[in-house]
Amino acid sequence: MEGALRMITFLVRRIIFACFAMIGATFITFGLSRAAGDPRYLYAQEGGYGITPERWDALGVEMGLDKPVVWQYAVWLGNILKGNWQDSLLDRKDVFGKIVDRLPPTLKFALASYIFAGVLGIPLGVLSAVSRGSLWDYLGRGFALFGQALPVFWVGIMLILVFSVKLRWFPTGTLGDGFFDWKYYVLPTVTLGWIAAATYLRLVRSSMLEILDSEFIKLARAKGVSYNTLIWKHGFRNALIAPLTFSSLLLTGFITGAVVTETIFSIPGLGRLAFEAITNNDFPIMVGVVLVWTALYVTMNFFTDMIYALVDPRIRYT
Amino acid sequence: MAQVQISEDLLRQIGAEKNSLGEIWGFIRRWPIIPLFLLALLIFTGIFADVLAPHDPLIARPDNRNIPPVWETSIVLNVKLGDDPLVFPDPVDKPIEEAMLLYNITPTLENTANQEAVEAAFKEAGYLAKVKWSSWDHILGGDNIGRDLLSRIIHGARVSLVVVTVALIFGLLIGVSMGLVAGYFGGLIDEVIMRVTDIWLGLPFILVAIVAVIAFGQTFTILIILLGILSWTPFVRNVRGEVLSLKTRDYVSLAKVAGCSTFRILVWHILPGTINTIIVIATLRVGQLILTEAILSFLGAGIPPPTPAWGAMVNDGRPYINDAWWISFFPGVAIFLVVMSLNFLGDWLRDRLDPRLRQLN
Repeated sequence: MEGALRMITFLVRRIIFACFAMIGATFITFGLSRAAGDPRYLYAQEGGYGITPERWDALGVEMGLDKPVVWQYAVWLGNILKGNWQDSLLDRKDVFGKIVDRLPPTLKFALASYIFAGVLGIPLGVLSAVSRGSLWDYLGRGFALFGQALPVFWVGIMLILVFSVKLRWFPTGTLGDGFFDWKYYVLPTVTLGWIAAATYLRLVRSSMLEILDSEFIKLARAKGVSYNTLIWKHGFRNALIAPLTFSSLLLTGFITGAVVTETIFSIPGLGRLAFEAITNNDFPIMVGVVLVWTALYVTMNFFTDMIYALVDPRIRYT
Repeated sequence: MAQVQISEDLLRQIGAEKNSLGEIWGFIRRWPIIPLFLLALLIFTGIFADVLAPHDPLIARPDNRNIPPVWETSIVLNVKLGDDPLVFPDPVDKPIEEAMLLYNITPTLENTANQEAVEAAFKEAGYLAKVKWSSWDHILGGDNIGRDLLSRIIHGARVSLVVVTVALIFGLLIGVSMGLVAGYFGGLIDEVIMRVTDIWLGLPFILVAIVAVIAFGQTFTILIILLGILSWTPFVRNVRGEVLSLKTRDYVSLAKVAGCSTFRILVWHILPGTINTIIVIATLRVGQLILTEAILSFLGAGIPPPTPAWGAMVNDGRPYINDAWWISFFPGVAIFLVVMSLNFLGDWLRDRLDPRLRQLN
């Protein structure tokens, strides 16, 4: 009974926290949009042609600039919540619609990378922990080391150089036409999943080593539990908890990685949209991308916290 | 015989018998020689970039465009009949001698000596040839608009060094002071600071940084401030943890009784106890900062061009990956070596100074 209550308190705390993170994101984006100077300059340069002083003032009233800043923020937030987002500067299209269009490719290949990272990183981590000091361990640790230090964008470009330009094995650019054209997925998935795989490997390895050294494993070994049961049931199941907590770390890496990977491979996703927004100086798009991405990030974080609490009963509900 | 072999193996195993090679290897494994050497090299090149760089990193010479590194063979790119701009050239992509034979020119020592000679030889035969010439003058070749790649990498070291140092100091000041305050005073202040830190970690930094760059423009100052506000969070968490245990020590209580001001206690009695943690985190953080700076520069939201920045240089070479891989390759290697050295050094320092931090990640 008490446990259930604590669980609910924990849940509520996490929800409140997620809300604060979202509000923080809106504060920052709105603050930046106002701190950068009169927002009218996004539409017309000072002293530029084609805008009369009357039109300038009218634009100000239209955008609500004659009201106090707090009011402006409230109006802005209200519009965002209603789905009534600003138009992009370059092609005057609804930012919300643009983002919805760009979301599926990003989700598809991010999911592919996540699976790739898990499939590659977790077994290698177990392997290198179980056979500590062996060739496998060295290979695994070397891989983890490279994954941490190699810049994503460079890996992507080098993969293109080797596998598309020189060897001509895989095509590059976009994700193909069909729902899942695997040839197009290989290079971007490896590029984005590489770091995550390395992180998983490192975390699984270190927590596995710690678990295998603990008393209950020694007891199980003394009881004569078979080797496979020992590693997978006693060791691995407990060792998987630590990497779970680091999922948020992986997610941040994914966001950065997706912007870079989509830019390199010309995937028409959310990250590419952000890159185009930089090149075109398109502020409204960037605001939209940040908000959507923060929302995704906060929700995912919330769910990993939940899973973590469910998987590990020892967690302190704080 | 067998016995002798076993005892030799045993001796080797217990380390009684060491050959000089093994000793060197052991030394390298125990001390972070290679990372330290690479970092020293980075700092040295950063400081003396002006003296070391063979060319001006900003001056572009169109005829040096995409020239290959010195060990790559010089090749004839394309050849066309006459110099009519409307005639489309034939692609050749062959080494000089081979290309000359293709166009019925006899290669000699004189006409293959340098780029001008080769071009003159082709001109004599009535062709206009485009030659890619590698030379010791441009060891790593030239970039997409004909700037010397090596000089740009050397100056890029300086740029990285400056940006990251300033950003780290910025982050240290904020992070350490917030950690000290949160840990020492506890209560509501602690709660607020820790929640702010959590929320800060909950934001997708790279996107916020891009928004800021679009809003304020791409300048050095903005980049440094952005990296600074990225770097403070881990300091808060770990310094706070240290302070929580340090503030209960007897010498802190004694200092209080002796009438030291709170500021004095924080700076003179508690701060020195957290130095180990700070050094370890700072080292590990610098690598992250260099990577983030490179990513921002790559995306065109970092160091403003034409200042050489490693990340931006990788991006410069992206469209030319087909025929000039070196433009993207070498700056990436530079980033990799520096970040890897920092990670190695950080891990080593952590094991030496603060083994408890092993849990960090």
